[in-house]
Amino acid sequence: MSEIPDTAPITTELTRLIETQRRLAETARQLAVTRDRDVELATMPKEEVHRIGDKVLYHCGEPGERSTGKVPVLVIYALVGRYTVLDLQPDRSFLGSLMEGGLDVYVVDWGHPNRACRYDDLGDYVEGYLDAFVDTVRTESGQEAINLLGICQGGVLSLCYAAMFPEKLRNLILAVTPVDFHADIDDPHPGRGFMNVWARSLDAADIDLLVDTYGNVPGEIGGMAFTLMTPMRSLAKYNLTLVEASQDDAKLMNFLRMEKWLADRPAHAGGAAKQWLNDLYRENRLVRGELVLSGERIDLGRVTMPILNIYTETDHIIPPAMTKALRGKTGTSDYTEFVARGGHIGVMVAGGSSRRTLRETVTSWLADR
Amino acid sequence: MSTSNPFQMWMDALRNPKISEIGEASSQIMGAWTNAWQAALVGRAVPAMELLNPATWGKDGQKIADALESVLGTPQWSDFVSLDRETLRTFAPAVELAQVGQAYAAEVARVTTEICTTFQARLSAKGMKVDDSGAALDLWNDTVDETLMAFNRSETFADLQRRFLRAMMAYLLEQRWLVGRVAEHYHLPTREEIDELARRVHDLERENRRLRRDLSKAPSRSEE
Repeated sequence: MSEIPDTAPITTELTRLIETQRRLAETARQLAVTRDRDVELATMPKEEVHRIGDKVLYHCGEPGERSTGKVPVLVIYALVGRYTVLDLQPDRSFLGSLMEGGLDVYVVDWGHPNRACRYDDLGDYVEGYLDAFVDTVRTESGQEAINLLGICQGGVLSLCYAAMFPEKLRNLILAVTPVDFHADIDDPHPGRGFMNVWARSLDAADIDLLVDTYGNVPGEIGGMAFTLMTPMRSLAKYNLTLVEASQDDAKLMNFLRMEKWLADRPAHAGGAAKQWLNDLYRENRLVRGELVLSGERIDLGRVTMPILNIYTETDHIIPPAMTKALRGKTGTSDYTEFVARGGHIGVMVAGGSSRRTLRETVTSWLADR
Repeated sequence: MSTSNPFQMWMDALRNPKISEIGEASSQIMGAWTNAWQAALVGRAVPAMELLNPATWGKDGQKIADALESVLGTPQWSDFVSLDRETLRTFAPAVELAQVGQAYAAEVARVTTEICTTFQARLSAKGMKVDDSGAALDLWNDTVDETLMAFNRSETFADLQRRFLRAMMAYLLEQRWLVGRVAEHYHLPTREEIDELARRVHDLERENRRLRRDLSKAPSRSEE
């Protein structure tokens, strides 16, 4: 008599197969009923208060609503990503969190540079657009000096602004902001600082050729660099990650909101892109005191207002060494560092206790000043 | 003497002293056309044959572009629209672009092999069974990630990227030049003209900002 075959492995495999198919079917079902209009970003009420072309200054809150007597906070995000990530969804809204902390918040939307913007350089952004927006906030609030909060590339713009117009700022808050663009050289890590390696592998003439040809650097090129930075995450995004996220409505909407934000990649205005890649990433001129904007050398010694420098130890885009390099480089005697939890983007879209901790850090730091 | 015999007529014609001149003329004409066909064969067909050899495709891009121009190129005519000739300008960067693509594909194949080899070695070292699919997938993903990250930061990748960028930009510039010619033909603004306008407006905006700033610093009339 032959032995009865062990059916356990077959049963296990069948169970796996059924589960896999069930998950794939659930993903298909979710995608069959989800439309782009169902995926909403930046839903917090806000009011346009100043527009220069497609660059817009918003006041956060119900239209017409203004806080009196408070020193407002102007939030500046990067040129290469939309500010909408700062209001990803109500429970993961950095802007909303600041408002919950009782702050009077303004935010700049840098828009989508078109061909007419190709000659805008960092000087135009800082001394032109940003200064105009700061003046509007000062006028609206009746404050001589306001608080500026710059994130990532927006932090660099804010830092340069603080050096050019220190009298207009009361406090400066920087988050995941690169200062020493060569700091990664002494702290090499295969999963971090790909942008640094990528930019330095190009000649200055290559970057000029890229910008002169396209006019502006298309957002897709930035997207490609991010894909190369985390290859497996990119490869697994639309299979493993999407299927996993689809099993839960809230997780799927998180995933889709982030996708929508990532898809909305503004081009990098040509003049600004040349300076960003050549003067900063390749030649590290900011920390060397050699960066020139609008004909003026950026002297970090002129940044004398209190500074709160926020970074994360797990930032794979701006390695922490690039951010921490600010210590001792400015003219301030009031310098504070805060280590937040999360990655480069995660720090802004965090929910729960991370969100609360960051809010309390910012509000209490400002309240003391 | 006239005759109605066709054969006789033919023989009479051959005896005509002019016939040798006609023969000579025919010979010269035939020779000239033979030369023309030979030139076409050497100048156009031989380069075309060279292009059919896949072994040459990955080599000197300029050589291939030159061969394509030999096959299809024409001189420039003052009173003909010769877009075909202008299109040929794009050959060199297009060929370089294709070659970079081939070189990149070759590197990707090498890296893929490296990923598989490393994965196998790690799987054996951990003593994992293939049906331990979850753990095996994690190991595979980690191996892919590490290997690709290392490749993306390598000098090989940087070289390919530089070549790709230069070829791509050259190709785009050639295309733009071609489209610009068409735009001019139909009295449409070219990219260069739009850029020039944007630059002038941008310079004016800067000047305006500078003047307004200077004005705000200047003492008012009552202070003077």
